[in-house]
Amino acid sequence: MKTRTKIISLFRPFLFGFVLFSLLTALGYLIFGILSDMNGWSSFRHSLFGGLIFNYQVQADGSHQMTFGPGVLFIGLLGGLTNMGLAWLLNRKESHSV
Amino acid sequence: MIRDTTIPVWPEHVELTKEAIQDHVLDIRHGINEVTYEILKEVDGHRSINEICNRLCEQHSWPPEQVLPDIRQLVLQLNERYLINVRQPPSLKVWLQERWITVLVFMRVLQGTDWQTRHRIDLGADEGIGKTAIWRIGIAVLKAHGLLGFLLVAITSFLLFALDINGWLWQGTGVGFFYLLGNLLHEWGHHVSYQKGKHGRRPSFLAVKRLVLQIVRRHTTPRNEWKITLAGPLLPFTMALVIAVMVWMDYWPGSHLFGWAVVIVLGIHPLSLIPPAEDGKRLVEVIRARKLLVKQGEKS
Repeated sequence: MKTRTKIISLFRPFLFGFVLFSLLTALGYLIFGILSDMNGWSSFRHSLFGGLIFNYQVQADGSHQMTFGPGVLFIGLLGGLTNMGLAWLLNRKESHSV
Repeated sequence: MIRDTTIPVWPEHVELTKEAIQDHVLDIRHGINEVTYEILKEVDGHRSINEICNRLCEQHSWPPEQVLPDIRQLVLQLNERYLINVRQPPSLKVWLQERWITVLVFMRVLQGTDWQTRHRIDLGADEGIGKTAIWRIGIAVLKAHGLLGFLLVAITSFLLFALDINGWLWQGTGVGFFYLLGNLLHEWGHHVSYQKGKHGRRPSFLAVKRLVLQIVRRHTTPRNEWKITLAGPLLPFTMALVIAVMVWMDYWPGSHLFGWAVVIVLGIHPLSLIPPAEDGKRLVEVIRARKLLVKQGEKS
């Protein structure tokens, strides 16, 4: 039961971090893409560990195309792991001080 | 978070006597000993934990280094059970710390009850629609979800502006407004349904725990519990359905995007009926209670 509680206490921050970072990345890039279109910026592509995060392409006719890739989930994964690590560190410190 | 500079405050309908702390809303009596009474009678809503400790140590010649953590722990335990409210001294540093703790608690980085400062807000037992309750729930919703509402306004306004939609600012603000209104209607729905139940009018209180709001009241029959639990999400959901029809039939004053955004922020409230959300847990308890009653009925 103790092990199960420990696992849950680490899984929750991982899940929250994963979901929040993925959503924030997607939303952030969506806003970035809109800003690029409004300001007439040139095409760009961002990747992480070879996995595409976001691709903004200006077409020949002046329209634009925005593509999200699995890099968003990588960032989510990194965010989840960071969150989980912080939770482990901070809650371990607190239990030691008690 | 409970600090030495935290000021404990007695909430409404909680009474301290020599033998017990009486919660008049839930009709629960919490027995206390002499020492606890000596400590708690110093709580006047103005003295901090530090000041209470100093006064008691002077009066009784107690060692402050032993008494201070005990008082802090006592206040924490009472705060966990919504028997005592706490307020922080006005300080920018403390305010920023509390906001940061709220973010870390929301992210589940900080866990455990020590970080969950709770607040009890009495809702009264007003006749009619409960004006006192509406006002107090509204203020609590604004404090707990105001920042999120503001972010929603900013993001929606920006997206509408980027899509060249006329009136992007008022529509963006409208989404934030309906988000806060949905939360208010949700809690008010629980409250008013409880007040109009067969068990008559009883006081209840709003429990605020960082970003989470919940109506706390006495349990009623399983049948009433169904109604009270469902009433909360039902109000904003009904509003979402009405607005969805208006948008679909082109009666909505604003862009379709605005309309559907409002439908989403109001329409997601039934998700609170899924555990581990509080309404969901309550619903599971009600189902179990009903099954138990049916079994007992069959046996007899």
